[in-house]
Formats: sequence, structure tokens, C-alpha cells
Amino acid sequence: MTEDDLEKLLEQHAVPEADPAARERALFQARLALSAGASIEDEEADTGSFRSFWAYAAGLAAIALVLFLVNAPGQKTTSDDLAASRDLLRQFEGVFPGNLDAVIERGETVEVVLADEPRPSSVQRVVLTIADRERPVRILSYSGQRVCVDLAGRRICLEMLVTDSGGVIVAGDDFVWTRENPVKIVGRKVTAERLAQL
Amino acid sequence: MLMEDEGDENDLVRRAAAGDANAFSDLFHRYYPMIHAFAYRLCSDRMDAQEIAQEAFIKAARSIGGVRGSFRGWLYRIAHNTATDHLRARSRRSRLDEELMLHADLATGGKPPDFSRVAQALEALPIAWRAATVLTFYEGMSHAEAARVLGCAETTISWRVFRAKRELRRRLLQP
Repeated sequence: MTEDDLEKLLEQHAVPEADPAARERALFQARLALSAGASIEDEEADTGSFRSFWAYAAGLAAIALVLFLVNAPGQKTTSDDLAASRDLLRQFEGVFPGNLDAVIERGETVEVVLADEPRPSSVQRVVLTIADRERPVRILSYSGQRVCVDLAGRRICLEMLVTDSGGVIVAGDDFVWTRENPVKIVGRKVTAERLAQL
Repeated sequence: MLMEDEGDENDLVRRAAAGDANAFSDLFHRYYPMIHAFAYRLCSDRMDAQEIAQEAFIKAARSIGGVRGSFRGWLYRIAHNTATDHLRARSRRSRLDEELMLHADLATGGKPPDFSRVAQALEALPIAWRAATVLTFYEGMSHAEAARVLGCAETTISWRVFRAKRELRRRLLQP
């Protein structure tokens, strides 16, 4: 079957006219909603059964290990790493739109942390890299998000925050990292950057 | 003319976001037929399509202050998410009532008599492939535009459309 033949067949799929009463009802209900006061929250992430479905998914998949084969052709530059991080985050955001808390890369293993609540798409994205003897840990997440990760046999929880000037603060229970004050986390060197808009 | 239309639409969105019901109604009348058709092609059910379209516009009215970029793309994304939710709920209901649905299908065929082979073939596609096909073929979106609506990479759209068309050909060639 040629492309043309397929398209001709697809064009046969007619759509019944919308029932005028249903259309008027829809307009009426929508105008009611408008007059009730619009919210600036991004509606794209809000689906009718979001809470029940994603609470269940988040409960099951609070730490979901996904084997992800990553090509690592020798040394990469910092800009290559950022671009790769951006691409990875974009792919996972496409799979879990609005309900991703973090993606944690550890060598070739990727861990996905799902959210309990929908996330506005306007929240800024951050990448945190923690040096490790065997394989660096890279956390892709969002400004204001708390993420916990296993490091050196300990469970470390931290929050990343993008400042007004575009800098990043990383705060743990007993440390605060900034570019100007780059403390080590469990003895490991850390870098954190804001990811440009995807 | 296109730029004038876009400017006019941006003005309508801005006014609707400020609470202007007439501006919102103009947007509604402009997009309802498209969103209804989109919903119908995703769910293949007249009542569901009406419900999805209504729900999508209610959600749009609630959050019109949050429009970023193209209103059309934003609205389609809401409609897609609403339809996906609806289909999941319908699937759960179907599993719960599986025996009853089976009897109903045997008795009536489960679909109206004019449910075409094309509609059946589309409905058999995974929702992600179906959405990509409907947006690009029926709604005339580019792969880039469809990718923005569905929140995925452009290459993902291209791949889904490729797989969908291959599957559609296979099904439509069956006797």
C-alpha cells in the first residue's frame, strides 16, 4: 500500500458533527470556570486522575531503576555533559510529563524519582555532579526540589535552589554548597549548574 | 494575514486571561470543532469526544493565565492529556466489566454500524502512536509542533508516526 493509498483511506475517517446542545453546554461550563477565577498554574500537568494514578506510581516507583545504555566515548567536555543532561531530562520529562522529581545517573544506570504532586513547567532545571572514584553521580532535578541519594554508604538528602542571578545553592542537612564556597559532600567534589531551558 | 490572526488571537488570550468571557467565547468557537474532532479521533466515541472536549475547555478556562507560547499547542496538549486520562479510566472500567462488555460486544458489535475499518485500525494503535498520527495527519501539525503538544522529542514523533503508518497499512490490508 503506497503512502497515497494510506492517506486516501485515512481521509475517509469522518468525524460526526458535534451535538449543538453538547457544544453549548461545554461553553457554558467553561465560562463558569472562567468566571470562578483563572489560576496561573500550568493546566498541562493537571489531569483528572493525576493524584490517584501518580500517587500509586510514585509509591511503586519511588526509586525506579531503569537500565539506560549511555555511550561514553572517552572524555567529554563540560558543554557536552550539559547537552547530554538536557537531552536525558527532556526524554524523561516526555515520558513523565509534569511528575518527575529527579533523574539520577550513576555510570550507565539511571534512577527515576517520581513526584507526588504535579510540577509547574516553569520551574528551573538544575544539574548536580558529584565526583566519585568509580563513576560520577549526576542528579538532574528542579529548583526547590529535595532529592535523596546514596553516597559512600550514607543516605544524603539535599535541596538545589536557583538564585535570582542564576547561580545554584545546594543545601544538605549539614552543609551549604555554592560556587563561591564549594564544600565537599561526603568528601566528594561537587559542581552544580542551572540547565538552560529545554 | 497570518500575523494579524496571531496578533488577534494573542489579544483574545490576554483578554480571556483577564476574565473577559466574550474573548474566551471567541476562542472557544474558534477551536471547539478542532478539539472535538481531535478527541473523537483519539477515542472513537461520540459521547466520550463531547465529554473530553468539554473537560478540556473547562481546564483551559481555569488556567488560561498560564498560556506560554502558542495557544493552539497549549490547548491541544490539555485536550491530549484529558483524552489520555479518559481512555485510561475507560480501560479500567472495561477490565472491571469485562464479562459484561464481552456479552455486549457479541450482541451489538460494541460500536455503531458506521464504525469504519479506518476508525477500528486507528483505535487499535497505542494511544501515543494514535495521538502522533492524529496531530500530524488530521490536525496538520508539523512533527516539531506535535512534539511540543505531546511533550516529547521531534524524533519521537517521527518514529511514532512511522510505526503507526506501518501498523495501519498492515491492518487495513487484512481482509
